[in-house]
Amino acid sequence: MASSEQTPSFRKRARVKIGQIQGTRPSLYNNQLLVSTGIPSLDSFIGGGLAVGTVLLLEEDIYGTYTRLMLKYYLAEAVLTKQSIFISSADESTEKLLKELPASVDSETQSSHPVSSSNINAETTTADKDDKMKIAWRYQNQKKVQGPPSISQFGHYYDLTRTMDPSLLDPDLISHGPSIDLDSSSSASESPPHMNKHYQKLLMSIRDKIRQGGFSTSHQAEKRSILRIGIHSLGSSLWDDDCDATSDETRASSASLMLFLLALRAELRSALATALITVPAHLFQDRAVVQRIERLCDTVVRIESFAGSEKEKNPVFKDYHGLVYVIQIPRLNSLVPAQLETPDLAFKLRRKKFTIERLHLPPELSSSTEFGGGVDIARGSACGSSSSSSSKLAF
Amino acid sequence: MLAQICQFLGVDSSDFPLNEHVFVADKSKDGGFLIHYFLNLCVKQNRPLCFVGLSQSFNHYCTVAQKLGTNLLSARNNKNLIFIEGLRLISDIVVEGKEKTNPILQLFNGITSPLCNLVYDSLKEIGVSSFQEHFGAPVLIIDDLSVLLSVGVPLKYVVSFVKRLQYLVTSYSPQGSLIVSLCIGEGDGDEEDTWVHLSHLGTLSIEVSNLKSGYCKEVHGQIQVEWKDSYLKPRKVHYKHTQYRLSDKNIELFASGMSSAVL
Amino acid sequence: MLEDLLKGHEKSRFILITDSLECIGRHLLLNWVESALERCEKLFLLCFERPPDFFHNWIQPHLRQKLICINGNEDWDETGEMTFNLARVLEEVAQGEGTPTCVAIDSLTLPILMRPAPVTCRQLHRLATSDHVIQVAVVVHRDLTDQHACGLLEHKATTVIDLLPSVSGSGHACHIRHCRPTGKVFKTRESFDFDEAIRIKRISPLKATQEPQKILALTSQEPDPTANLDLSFKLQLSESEREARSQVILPYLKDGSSETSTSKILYEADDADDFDEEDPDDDLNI
Repeated sequence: MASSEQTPSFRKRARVKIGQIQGTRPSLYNNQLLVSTGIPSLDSFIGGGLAVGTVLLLEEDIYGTYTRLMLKYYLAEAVLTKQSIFISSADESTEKLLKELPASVDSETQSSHPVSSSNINAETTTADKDDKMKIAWRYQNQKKVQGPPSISQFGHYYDLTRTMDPSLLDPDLISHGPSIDLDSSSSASESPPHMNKHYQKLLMSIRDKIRQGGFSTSHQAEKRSILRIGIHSLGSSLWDDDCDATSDETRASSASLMLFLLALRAELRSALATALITVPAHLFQDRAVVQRIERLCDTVVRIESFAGSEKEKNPVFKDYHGLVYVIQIPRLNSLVPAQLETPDLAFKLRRKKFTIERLHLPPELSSSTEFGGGVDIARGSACGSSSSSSSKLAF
Repeated sequence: MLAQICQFLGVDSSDFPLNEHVFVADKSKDGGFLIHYFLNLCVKQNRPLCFVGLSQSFNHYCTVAQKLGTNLLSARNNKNLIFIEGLRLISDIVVEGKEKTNPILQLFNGITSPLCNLVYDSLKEIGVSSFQEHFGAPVLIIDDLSVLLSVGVPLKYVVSFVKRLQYLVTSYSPQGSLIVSLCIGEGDGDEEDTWVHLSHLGTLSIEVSNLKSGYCKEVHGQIQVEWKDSYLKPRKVHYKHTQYRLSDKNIELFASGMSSAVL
Repeated sequence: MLEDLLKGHEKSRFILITDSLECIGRHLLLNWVESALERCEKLFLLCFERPPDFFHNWIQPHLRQKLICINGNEDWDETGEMTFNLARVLEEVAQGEGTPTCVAIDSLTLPILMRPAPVTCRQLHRLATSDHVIQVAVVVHRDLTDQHACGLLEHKATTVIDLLPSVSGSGHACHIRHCRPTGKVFKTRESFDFDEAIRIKRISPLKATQEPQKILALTSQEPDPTANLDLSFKLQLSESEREARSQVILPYLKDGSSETSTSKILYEADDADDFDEEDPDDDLNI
């Protein structure tokens, strides 16, 4: 930490306890340790953040664009808080994904150099900080106090117009999942007949990473860190191997995915790690299969985007890009989940902010809808027909 | 919480369940509280208990039990409780090289013996054996069976596994009790069929479901209880119904329409 | 018919009792076993769902020595798994050549689950057609057996008793189809009840009003949240009220048929009144 004994700022001298792992904070509802998903507004709707040791399932929107973006926020958050990353994708190269991480909004105005480098050059700060102090002139000559470094802030905002500085990505902290060999034939294999080879390899590499990286809860160490696992588009057809193609029951072929999720849960429950998985749930014909997948994950959020659907034209939704459904919040270590109410939520994507908020009507509409019509609107039905045209009587 | 549910069921909290084969269907997402109820109740009665956790780790039950005033860690240390980490067993199927001897994998082919033997040996570890009388009727709890269906164990082998457990648990003297939970997703044919099988086999079936009229802050759901023939004597079928509201450490049970929010 | 079947006045080689969760057949089977024990010398009871003691302890003491219970759960194959089949019962029955024997099975669902239905049907057929077997009674769960298997069993059975919950709440109803050896077919509907000791009583023909309705989706899928509340006022409308409501003419409805009023308003201007010829509503654009 940048030492500034000369300044009178109060700094609590605390030993680094297990509760003070970088980028985590305790939950307000129970004594779970939480990490941020990278989207502060999402954190607030899933109980304050993602609990360490749990799996967050994102059910993809139709083209997967927004969930892919949310995965990037999650990984960017890991970079900013110096947490480790394990990333896997069958659809695309994970290196490419990492090159596209958005930069933090703060990084422009505030130096976000890693704290380990102690020579902070005063001249690199932006112009407004160089203004001579007129009133507090005695402090002019003091060393500039570093504000609390951004790594201790919980949840950051990201600027999509700029990519993250590649120097922030520490290759020691990043692991990539095994590549999917699309051309490999199914060997008369060592893998059990019920297990998809690709899922098995993925799970084995996650297991190895947890053990070798010291993320297992039984591992003793002074300084602990969190491993963030991100799996892109799990369950898409690219993960299938021949063992699934032979079974004509879709339920049997999804059994591999269930096994994987259970095994992942088993690993995470005894590790300082979280996982964010995006799954194209809309591709599964059988609703029961989707329910089973949801049951095997801890937090479940479904994203529905308006792009290309009729809802895009619905005036009710014009401020938003899609809807968010918080389908499940973990009941881990307690009888009840952290919060019970899951209001209708929608998201909007701005360049510098991805926000999820309660769905509320745009101002022109709210005056002409009936009392209580809000519920219907969230279901997509068009409200009063004459509302959108400007009415001389509208206040 | 334990007292409220015992009162609702009309049972004596000092020896329930005795010779019961209880099957719990969870059609909502909250139903887990009944497993915590049985777990805590049996530990408080100091009965030898074998818990097969297929969907959560031991810590989860431990933490909730703490809130309800029971110490599972010390129960385990005193050999009153043995916890089989089923989650680990299942995840071991995915680990290369461990499949041959994996008891759950054998279930896929209808071979229930390895898993049943595991349960039998675990019970032996805490002093329960068929060859001698022991203190306290043993209890076997499985949470939850739908995990086996999800990973692809065929329905008939899941049912025959439960039959074997029934047989196992009644082979002791005094006879033990069996409690099995099953999550049922909406429209999930396999799970629904398994539930009908279990209902026919059990002595007591409890169904936890959401209210048909949707989510409500004050009433989380309803519980339907059906008492059937006991294991050794016929008895007339009778039903009980209630609505409930869960809080962090407690549960409120009230008849339909009697929620404090409505009155 | 039910009474006659139970008492043995009506002969039937193969009785199939179908039940469901709402009304189980085990109690009827118990009663049948007891009365059959009076008529035969040996009764083999194959139990899958409850242990032998369940039946043994309920049967009256003087009949117990004729009852031989076989625990279906104790049938193991070479791999150590439960077989759930009828082989043992077949063996035991075959050994008792010459003695009038009855067979009961509770229930057939597990054997049907584990092996193809025709295999079980064949085994039952062999049992029922053995010379010394007077009667075979079998319980099958309708809600667990598919149509095909049910059909096969019903085809083989001389009597089929379908148990249904009675509409009036207590007791059970049943539909019986019985084929006499002469070829005559009887179809009856009866209701009965059990006393506290689960002994059957009050068998009577089913009245038309007590017919259990097929449980289809009833009126609406939407649950009525007001249904279970005790309100002191009535929210529903009766037919006459509904009609009266539709007859009410709402005020301000311009249907052209309303009488124009014949009253006039007479106004006398005051001194202070200021007449403005302009229409104040002119600048209102509606």
